[in-house]
Amino acid sequence: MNDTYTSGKLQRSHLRHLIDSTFGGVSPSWFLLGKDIEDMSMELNPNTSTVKNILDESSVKDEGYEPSMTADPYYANPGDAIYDKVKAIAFERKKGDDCKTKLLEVIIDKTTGPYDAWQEDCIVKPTAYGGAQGGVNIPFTITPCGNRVSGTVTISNGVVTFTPASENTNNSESNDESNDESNDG
Amino acid sequence: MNVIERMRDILDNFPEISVLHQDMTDDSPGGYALASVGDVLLSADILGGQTRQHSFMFYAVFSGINDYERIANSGFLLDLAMWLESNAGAEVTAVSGNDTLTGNIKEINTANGMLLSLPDDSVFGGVQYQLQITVVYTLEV
Repeated sequence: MNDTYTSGKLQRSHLRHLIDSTFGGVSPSWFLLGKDIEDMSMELNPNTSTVKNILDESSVKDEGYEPSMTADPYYANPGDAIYDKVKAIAFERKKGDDCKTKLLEVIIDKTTGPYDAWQEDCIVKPTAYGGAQGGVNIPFTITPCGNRVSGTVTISNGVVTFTPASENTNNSESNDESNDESNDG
Repeated sequence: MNVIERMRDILDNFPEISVLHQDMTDDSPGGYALASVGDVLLSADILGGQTRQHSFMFYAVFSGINDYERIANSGFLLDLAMWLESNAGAEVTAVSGNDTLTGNIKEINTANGMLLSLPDDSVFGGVQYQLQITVVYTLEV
């Protein structure tokens, strides 16, 4: 059994986001995001709405999540595994499946692997290119789009390997059915 | 090479510097020295990579008997500033615990190049100039 951190906050570097640099290849090749980025979050964008019926009871409708994450800056580096794809999407205005790849989220809350991880299909969309003097910045947005699978990750010599759990979790944001919770008002 | 060793290496390769001392110069013209005065973390990315700034003082003793020599001395400091600026990209390392981190110099800036003192209390024995140097560099995990 792995030792788990029991006290003290996790450093930000213990939450890792990686994308498959093959963009649809048979075997994923994970590229770690975060270099030069000081602040990056998966914005969950939860949707709930509240309605009140004629009995003055409030009903909360949970419409799930619309998560997205922005990697900004991403300084164009021809040595990066994702560079060719990001460049092509941005400059050739690619869309649809050309922008589709996989996102891997890993939280390192144990002192040794394997670590808890989630893999999901996603769309990568550059939002701009250019930027100030010092480097060509191509920030991009990552929008998860389903097929979320939980599992574990091992990291050996810098190589990340994802293994799906036997029981997959599919709690994806956009395809979830709405849940109703009622509270007396 | 840590950032101090790298900056000494860069200065050693400046054609007009023959011998570079540390912290203090000879009092006679032709004496040069580099002093490290501080290092500060500017920012860190979410992977733990750091951008840091290291501050140096550079001292040089020249002959400065008249305006012509002192103008030449200012020209030396200008040439040196541009030489330093052109060395951005040089590799640096740092030791953190059991790990050796590597990175690059992003920029080298200079400021406040000025006549600092008269070691012999007269312009005939040489005049000491100072140049503040700041180095912005990265270290990757």
